[in-house]
Amino acid sequence: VTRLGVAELLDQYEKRTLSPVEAVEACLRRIEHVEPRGKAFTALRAEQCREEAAQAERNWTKRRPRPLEGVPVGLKDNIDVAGIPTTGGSRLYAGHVPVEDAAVVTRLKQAGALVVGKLQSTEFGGGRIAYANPWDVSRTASGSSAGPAIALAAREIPLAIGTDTGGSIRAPAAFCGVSGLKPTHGLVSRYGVMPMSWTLDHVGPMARSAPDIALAMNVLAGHDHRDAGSVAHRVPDHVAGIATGVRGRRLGIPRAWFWDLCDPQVEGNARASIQLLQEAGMSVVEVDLPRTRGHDLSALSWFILAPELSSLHQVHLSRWEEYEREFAQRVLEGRFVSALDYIHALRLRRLVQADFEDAFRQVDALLTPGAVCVAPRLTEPLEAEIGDACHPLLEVQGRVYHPFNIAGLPALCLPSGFDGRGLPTSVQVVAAPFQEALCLRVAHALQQATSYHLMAPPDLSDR
Amino acid sequence: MQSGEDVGSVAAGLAQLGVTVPEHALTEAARTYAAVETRFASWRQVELSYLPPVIEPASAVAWLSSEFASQP
Repeated sequence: VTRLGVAELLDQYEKRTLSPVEAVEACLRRIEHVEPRGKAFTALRAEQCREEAAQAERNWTKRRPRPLEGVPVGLKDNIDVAGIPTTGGSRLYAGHVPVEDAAVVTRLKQAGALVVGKLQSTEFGGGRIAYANPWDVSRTASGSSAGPAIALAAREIPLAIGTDTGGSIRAPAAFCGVSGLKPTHGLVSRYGVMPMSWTLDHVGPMARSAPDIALAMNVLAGHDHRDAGSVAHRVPDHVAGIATGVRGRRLGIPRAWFWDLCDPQVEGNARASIQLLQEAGMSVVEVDLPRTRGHDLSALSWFILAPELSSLHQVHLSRWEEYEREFAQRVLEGRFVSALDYIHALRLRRLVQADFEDAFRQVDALLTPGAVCVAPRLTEPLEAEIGDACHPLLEVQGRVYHPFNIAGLPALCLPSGFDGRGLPTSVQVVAAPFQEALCLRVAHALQQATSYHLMAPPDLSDR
Repeated sequence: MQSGEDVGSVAAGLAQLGVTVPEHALTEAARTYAAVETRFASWRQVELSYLPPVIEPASAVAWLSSEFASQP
């Protein structure tokens, strides 16, 4: 049961071959079995979840199911769930129990999803990423949405919600062999989510297949006046058309930047994915990003994120010593950025956007590596192995993610295969603003042609 | 060219907030800033005057209002 995805669960509920109560019990058993080694969860709502599963079962019996009726879901621990702790992975918020649900939690509950519990986050989404990867516990799961990626890979839950300021949904998804979508900026409300950067933060779904992410997006997307960055945009049906294929669509491959620093096996599997999409009927063209060519997109991201993070955390500065060392340093770093550089960096975002807007006049979607490397070893500091060289992970891993936080574009990472050691590799599919459905369609076409997304790591409890 | 605050200025700013941070932490933060600032330097040379005057609806992201994007 725990290997079933969201769409499969809903299908089985409808056919009466499985009930939400049975599914929740299976998830809770799996969590109990795996957690001693997996360590994805920070808090559980087992009893409430059982009660809600019984209600979900009644709704199915009455033939009045809501869109995610009876689907277990986990939330990253920087997303408020009323009544259980939300710590943001920080000692500063130890024991903090919100009284109100975050907007995405309200939407999930109203859609019938069953909140199983909270999942590990690095400190405020920006701290140390030392979580073990289910595929190889001597390697990192990355972060900051580490708990969601671990829980999905270990088949503890079929759906999770993460946050992404510079790759925090996509990096752990890539390293753990699952799928994660950073939606268009403003499409999913951040109300009730601990912020890192008000112009770069995004909330999005993580799952094991594109259709599962599409089902979640239909529930999560929508305007919310309580989030100043929320956009009033018509929300399409992300499920409709997902299986209609990609024939006649144009796939763009950026010429530089994304491929300049990339592990050869990651690149090889990405090139194989491009070939599969060509065979599925996509035409492939190279695209240029002329305005931003020759500039460091990660540095641009840093000059926005660092001062925004420092500003947000000024309220906690008197408790500076309670931060983990890594995050404490980040809180200080932003104080060195001049106001002029920050404003200039914000204005430069328009150039990055303009480059991608031009690209999307030529193509329907872009494909890049989903990570610069496979999951690195759990060393201090973490290092990305790229070919024969090692690079500081935190300096290089954002290369493939930052441009899409800067430009606010939808970006989806999904498995593209494995390297020679059996570690997952990933590709990233990107589309124009509010074209999540197209990202999902391309991802589904790839997942129809491969089975990487169905492969599970060796059972954690056996190791 | 605009550069960042120095360690002394940052320490003074924190002191005004009643916060004392170990000097080694500030020095490390300054070192990180300096490393990224080197990579950011080329962005400072970019001419922004040719930016389109309005944000297109397709890129309607709230962090760049039309007022902001219309800067010369």
